[in-house]
Amino acid sequence: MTAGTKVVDEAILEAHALYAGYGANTVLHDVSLLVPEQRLTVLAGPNGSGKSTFLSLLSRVLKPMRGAVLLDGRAMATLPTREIARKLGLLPQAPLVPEGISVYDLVSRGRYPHQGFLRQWSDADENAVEKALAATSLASLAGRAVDSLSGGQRQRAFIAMTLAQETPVILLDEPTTFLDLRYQNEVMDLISSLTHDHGRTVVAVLHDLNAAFQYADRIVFLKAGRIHTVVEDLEACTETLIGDVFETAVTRLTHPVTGKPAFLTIPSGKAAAA
Amino acid sequence: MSAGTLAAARQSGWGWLLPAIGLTLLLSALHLSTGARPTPLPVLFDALTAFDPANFDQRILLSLRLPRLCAALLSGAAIGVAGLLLQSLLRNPLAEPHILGLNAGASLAVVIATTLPAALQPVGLARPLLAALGGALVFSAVFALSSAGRLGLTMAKLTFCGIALSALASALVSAILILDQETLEAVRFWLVGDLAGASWREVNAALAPAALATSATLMIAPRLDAMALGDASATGLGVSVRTTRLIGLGAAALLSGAAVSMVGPIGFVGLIVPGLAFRLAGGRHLPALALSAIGGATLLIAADLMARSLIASHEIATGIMTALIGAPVFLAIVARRVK
Repeated sequence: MTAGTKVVDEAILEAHALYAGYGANTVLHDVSLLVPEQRLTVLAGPNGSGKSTFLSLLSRVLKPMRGAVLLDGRAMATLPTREIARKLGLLPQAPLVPEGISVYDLVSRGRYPHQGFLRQWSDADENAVEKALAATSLASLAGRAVDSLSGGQRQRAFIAMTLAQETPVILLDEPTTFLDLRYQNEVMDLISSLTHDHGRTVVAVLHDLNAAFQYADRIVFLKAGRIHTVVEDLEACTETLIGDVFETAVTRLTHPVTGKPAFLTIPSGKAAAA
Repeated sequence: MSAGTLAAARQSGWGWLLPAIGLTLLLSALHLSTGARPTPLPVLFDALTAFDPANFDQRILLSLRLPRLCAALLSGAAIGVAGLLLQSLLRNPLAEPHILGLNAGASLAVVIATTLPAALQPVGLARPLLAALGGALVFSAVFALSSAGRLGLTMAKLTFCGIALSALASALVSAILILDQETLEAVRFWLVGDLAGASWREVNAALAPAALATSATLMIAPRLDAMALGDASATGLGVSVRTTRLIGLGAAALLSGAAVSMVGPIGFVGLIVPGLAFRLAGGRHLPALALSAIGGATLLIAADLMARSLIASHEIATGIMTALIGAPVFLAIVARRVK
């Protein structure tokens, strides 16, 4: 089993020996990770493996019981939350949609960390919002109410809000859960363009293993509150590893179009035959 | 999308402000001229521009009706803003000072103080502050009780705990009043929410706490917009959720304390107005706060007008009028929103 960490030259976000839990129940044990710049890092693992808890620690929504998270080399616990928000954006799993707010209004809320008590809406704010709307192909829907959009459009609007925040790092918690196949694709395309076209560092918790393999630059597998393996070379990922992480039999295929690995589960009755 | 449309999208939410102010002014004029002795509007104009102490109509206007109107405007606005703060911070469409125990706590504090010896009676600023403290204490108990247990804070638990502790506080008030006839006489009308007794003294005392709470509210308005997206989203945007909630709930307690000290516990204004204001403001807090203040003031004046004119030569307490309108609205929200 490989160690949880790998030395990366330009780590913008670092987790050092994190422990976390709720009450007496420890959910994460000694988790360390370096997040490289301008890559899409996916956190994957079975239910209850601690991947969402880990993302909460990285985004300071949850305080670690022990250990530290460093952003640009500085301990996040010592930084003002607003200063963090200018460097690190977060899209949580189930954000609330206030009744009746427009797409434009939602996206402009991403500018909050850039606005002072008396500082009015500036050209920089306006530009950031327009760029975010354009990048998510939402400009024509800017005046629509968010609660009237389709699931995919709505998720794109929240990603646009996170984009308008103009942070080098973006954390996403299961951004495609509850979406239809088509919208999952649409949202994953957008997320991968955040790193490859917009130069952002993205860390995303993904439930869908195959989406992770098609889009990620590296995958961090968690199991039972610890980092199991960090996969840098996706093509080299084996059935044994996936089978071990998810405790189920899988078979490995190669995606005929992308050439990347894909994994299919094997019904338990047929496992011996495979 | 052109720059013009985008600018329009950002300005939206303020459109209802002017009509609402117009309605308030209209009702205010009507409020001033209504009473046992109807006063034509020119008298109001004269009283404000060229006050003549010998003129009986002008004296009624300035010493009785104007303080009553100001108490209605100030307390209505305070209740409206307090209701919006509670609904936004607790994410509960049923949250309002009356249902969550703030009003009952404030009444209890004021009634307990009334039984004290004369030297210890709260005067001036002490009265609204005492009311705010009483409201804050009962609300804290409501919040702690409804947060306990495995499910944590839910909409239904918060509402039920609020209603239960309000009933308890009201029962204590009744117990004190049954034992103390003198206090009963002093607070009988005030306790159901009544504007008839409002005087400049109470209005002046309530101004400072109301102004302080309003400034705090304006300061956190942008954070409330972020918190409307959920606590995690707000944290991601750089909002300190816990501090903001503390400031906002403190402001709500001060505002409802100020209102109770002026006009007694008035229910349902804080329930009806903020939900509507928030929708008319397009889900943005700054215009929604302005609309809640103006809407609360307008509704309270309207209720007071009806209370005074529904039965000729008799006044119904204003709080009874707001309950008559508000109770069905409460039930409608329960039917629609509470699962």
